[in-house]
Amino acid sequence: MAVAMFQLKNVSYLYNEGQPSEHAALDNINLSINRGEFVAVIGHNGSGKSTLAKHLNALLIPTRGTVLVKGIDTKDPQHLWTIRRTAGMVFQNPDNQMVATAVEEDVAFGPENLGVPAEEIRRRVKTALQTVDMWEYRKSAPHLLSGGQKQRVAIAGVLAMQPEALVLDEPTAMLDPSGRQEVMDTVVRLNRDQGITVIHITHFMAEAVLAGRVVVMNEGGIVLDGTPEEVFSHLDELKASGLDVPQVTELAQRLSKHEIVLPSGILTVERMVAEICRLKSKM
Amino acid sequence: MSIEVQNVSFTYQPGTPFAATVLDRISVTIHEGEFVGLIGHTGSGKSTLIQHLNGLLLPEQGRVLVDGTDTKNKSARRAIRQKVGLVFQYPEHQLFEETVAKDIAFGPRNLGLSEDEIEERVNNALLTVGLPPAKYAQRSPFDLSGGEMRRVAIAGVLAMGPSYLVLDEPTAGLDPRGRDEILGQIAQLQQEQDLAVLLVSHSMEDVARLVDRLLIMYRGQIKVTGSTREVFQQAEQLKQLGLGIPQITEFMRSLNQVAPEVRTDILTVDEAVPEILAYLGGTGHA
Repeated sequence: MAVAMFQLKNVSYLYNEGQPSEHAALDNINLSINRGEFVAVIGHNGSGKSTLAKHLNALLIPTRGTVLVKGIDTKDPQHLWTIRRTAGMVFQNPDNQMVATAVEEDVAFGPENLGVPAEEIRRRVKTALQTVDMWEYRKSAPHLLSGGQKQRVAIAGVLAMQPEALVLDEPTAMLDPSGRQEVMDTVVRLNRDQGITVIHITHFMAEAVLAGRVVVMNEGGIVLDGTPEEVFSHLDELKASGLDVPQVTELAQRLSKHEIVLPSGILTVERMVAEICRLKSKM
Repeated sequence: MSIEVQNVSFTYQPGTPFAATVLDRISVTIHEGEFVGLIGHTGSGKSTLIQHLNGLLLPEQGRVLVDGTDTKNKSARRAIRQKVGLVFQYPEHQLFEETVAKDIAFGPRNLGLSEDEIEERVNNALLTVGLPPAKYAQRSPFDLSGGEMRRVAIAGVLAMGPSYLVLDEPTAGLDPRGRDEILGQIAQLQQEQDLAVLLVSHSMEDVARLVDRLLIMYRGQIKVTGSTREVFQQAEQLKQLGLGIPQITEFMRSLNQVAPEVRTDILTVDEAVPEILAYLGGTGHA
């Protein structure tokens, strides 16, 4: 069997260990993510999802348990850079991730630090900016870009390191709807066309629906794990975890209380219209 | 009593090559006690417009009247800032005092109120945003969660006793629970205290269930205005302006294509349930 991209075994993480304020942000997590998966991790603020993300490229090391990235233990300091190159991270605030005065320099920053030859850097910068559809802005100053454009540049900066996995920690939280759309289109494309493994942390349910697999966190643990259809059929658990469901999913559940039987896990308008029409035609 | 925006235009960096007209002959009235939503995508002029409502920005052309007083009237500026409370995006970044109580007291103290009156206002404001004073007043604002910090910032504006409350995306970056708490408190405040609220939002679902009237901005102009129900009936026009409609409204509109008898002006799941039950028939209205 192939080695999983990420393997978490009994992972716990304590903040302020040994102090009265000790707090388990992760509580005995077991999770395996395979190469090429698109996994959305959802949960309310404080549920542990960002702490989980930071374990995937050794920004945090577990207090207990083991995190393996392509089989390499993140506790092993010798392989830190291999791990960081394998799993690139994009954070919430685009303004905190820009380091250079022009977009192309910003994207070149990572490979330059790796000592990649200049010719190869130019090639990678071009490919990365074309991939996120920002090549025409290569000479622009990052601070003049929109939020969605900045996040796409941040993604290009990670792509220039040629990672096998992208870990996105609420990359859309501070963006407007069109910025969110731009970022999600980019992420979906990277996963589908280039086979990059994607771990997308979010609390926007419309984004989780785009993933192949949804992991729901609450109180430092994993409470649900499955396809979007499976996960969103657990409406009561989601609400108890402080999360939303799509309005059509909620409508289907409310109708079921009136003996209108619909399949579980309806997520889209198209599907809901089709199911209502199917019911009507049987009457 | 109302805020009247009369034919207001505003240009950033006028007379330079960077001149950008961000408000283009805007006229709108915000009435006492009403709940209004303002939507439009980034760069449409929303933030510039709301900064005109309490005189932070002054119109280049046209005028803004707050309860009849022109915001250009310098001697009335303090009274106008007190009447029109403005809550910026990420207002928690503006917290600065050692304790929650001191932070909220900062504005009222500048009004020259007595200490007793200040304390009463601080406590009332904290209660209004759902933070019990006994538990929160003496804490450092920087030890609070993001959602709590934001509520402290809103309490600071409420303690000024405004007649109009303007909120620029008060739920940005919050999770669904934090969002519902803040919006629930704003709605309650609007109803119980007869406060006019102008809510700037990107969420069609949120404005659909909360506000009475919508203003849609596009490139410095108000392109669409009307009751929330009327505005969301104009899905095609909203799409042209780069905006959507709530998913439940979209669902009813799609269903209407094949089932013309169902209503298309549904705004919430609560409204959709009886409508679908009636369409499917037999089980009766809920």
